[in-house]
Amino acid sequence: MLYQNDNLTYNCPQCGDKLNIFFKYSKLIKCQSCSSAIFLEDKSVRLIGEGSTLSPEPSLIELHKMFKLQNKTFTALGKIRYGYGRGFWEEWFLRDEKNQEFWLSIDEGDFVLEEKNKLSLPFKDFSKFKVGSRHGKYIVTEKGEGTCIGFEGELPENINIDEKHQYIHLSEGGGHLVTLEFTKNSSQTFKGKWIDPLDIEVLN
Amino acid sequence: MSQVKSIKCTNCAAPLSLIGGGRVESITCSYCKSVLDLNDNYKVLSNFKNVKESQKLPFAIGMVGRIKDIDYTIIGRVTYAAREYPHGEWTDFLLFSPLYGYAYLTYEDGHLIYSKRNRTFPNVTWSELTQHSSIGVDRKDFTPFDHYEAKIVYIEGELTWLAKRNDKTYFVDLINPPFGISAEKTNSEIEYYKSEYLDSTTVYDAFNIEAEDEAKTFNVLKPFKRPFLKSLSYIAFFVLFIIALFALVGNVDGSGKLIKSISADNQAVKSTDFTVNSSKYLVDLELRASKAKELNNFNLQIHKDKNIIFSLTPQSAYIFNSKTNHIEKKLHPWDKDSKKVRVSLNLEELGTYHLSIKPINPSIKSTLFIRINEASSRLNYLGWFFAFTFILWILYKFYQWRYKRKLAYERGIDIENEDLEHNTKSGIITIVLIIIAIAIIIAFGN
Repeated sequence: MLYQNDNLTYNCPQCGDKLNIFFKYSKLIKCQSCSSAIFLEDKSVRLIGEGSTLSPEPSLIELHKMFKLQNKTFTALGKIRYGYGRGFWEEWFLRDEKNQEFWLSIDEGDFVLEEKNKLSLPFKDFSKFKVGSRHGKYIVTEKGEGTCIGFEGELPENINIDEKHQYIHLSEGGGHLVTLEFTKNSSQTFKGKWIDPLDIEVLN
Repeated sequence: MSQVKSIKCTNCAAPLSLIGGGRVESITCSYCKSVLDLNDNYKVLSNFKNVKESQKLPFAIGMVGRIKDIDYTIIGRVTYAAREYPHGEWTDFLLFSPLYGYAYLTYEDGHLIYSKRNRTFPNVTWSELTQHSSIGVDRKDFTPFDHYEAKIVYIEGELTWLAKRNDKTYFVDLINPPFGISAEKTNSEIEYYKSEYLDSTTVYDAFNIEAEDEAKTFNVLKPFKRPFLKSLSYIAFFVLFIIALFALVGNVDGSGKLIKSISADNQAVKSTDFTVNSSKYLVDLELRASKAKELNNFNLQIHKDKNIIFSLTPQSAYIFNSKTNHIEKKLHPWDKDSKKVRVSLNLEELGTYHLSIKPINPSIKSTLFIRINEASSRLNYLGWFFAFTFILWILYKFYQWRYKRKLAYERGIDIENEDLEHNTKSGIITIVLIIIAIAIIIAFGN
């Protein structure tokens, strides 16, 4: 069953429709009626703009649908799409049965399941990481950047549409990796594992 | 992405369609065969117009088929030629699924191999790859098999990297048939692909195309059909061993049955008859005295129908031919310090035998106790069994060694390869063990 925040009721400041919130720590939500992007503050809501409508693309994961992976049941609560030239990748915001947050990155059949991590970095300069270079037990295997195109559902943090987003994959071997993400004003670290999409069991 | 984008060839203006998702970086114009860089305003990278294809391929770009329950579209192809194998070319067909991404279907001389990018390969440097005897990936051990350099000889359709004619790629193949890992190194990156040998008929059916004849050539990932006898030997050998052991130890009673128990002393010759009712196993005579000196003070003879068949003294033991009364076999005498002797005789005829015990020196006070058991087996019966089993095991190992050698030869492993040298040593050891086993059997026989 999806969690629904019954203690607080929010309405869309744009169209007045009720906002269905499935994660109590969500900060950003898209109105399911008018697609407005709404920032959730302590006890109030703030319209931050008209949300872009993402083009429907085939995907194993669907919003508000559950799936099983590695003996856990996840619910897809939201997603961010990043564009890079002719393609895009999506970061799905997930919640498991223990209400823990996960992120599932899907890029043309490559799936990475990660959690936020507080790993200390040798440096925070994107340009200093060279593909193939080793940092302790990690090897830099991929660098890339994209632009935030839009989002759907709800997210635990605010995002800025059109903001440049850089990432670095540091491989630990055996499918384990650390991902560093950089925006203009912040950086985040995620730790997780490459997964085989065939291991995903979509639940009806 | 699954959406179709229309573009024009910058060389001949022919319309081109992109169907291969966001990772596609180059496309080859199907009209003028120019390879265009999608990251650089469709700049022409190379041209294959005058390149003749040497391979006739069963697959073509745009074909749709299902592999491993994933619906794929063939969006591009690359044909490679390895420098070390000038007559061998292979073609990688790039497959695309909007849900599951990219994969390859490799066609080589009729063999079909499916590959997908592997992300779980351990952190091993390129130079270390061939130094490992095996590398574990996804709970399977892969053995380095070959490393070679190949160049691109033909390109068609869409590719997820910028490929030009004669571009070089270095390959290291690791195998665990029907699976394999292909490590591929270009100037810019190293990628790992996990491969699986596919049944070609199934793939042709999946793509709804006419099946080619089954490949007759060797392919390293093609699993060998295990010979029937080999499969059988894995189970049958141990099953037979256990059955035989149980039969011998459990069902066949070789503990013997007492048929006579007498004693003799230094006062007089002692004679007695005993009747053998069973031809199973042996008849045991157990001679026992309280001192070795007493045991050594007796001679013993066995007659059958007044013909001597056995004579035993402290110095000698003889078996006689009951028909000719001539010595048939001389046995070793017992140890002079023994206080107990056991003689096992194979008395083939049933019936009554006559035993006489004669003291050698009547002045030496001595008493001899004799127990006669029939149907008594000896430990060396088991010894024979184990020797026989050992020989079978040696033969099995020898067969296994020959099979591996054949496999190594057919897979083209260099005869100087260390593994093979190791196998050759194992083979020699095996042969030596067989000779030793035969020698043991002969010794037992004597």
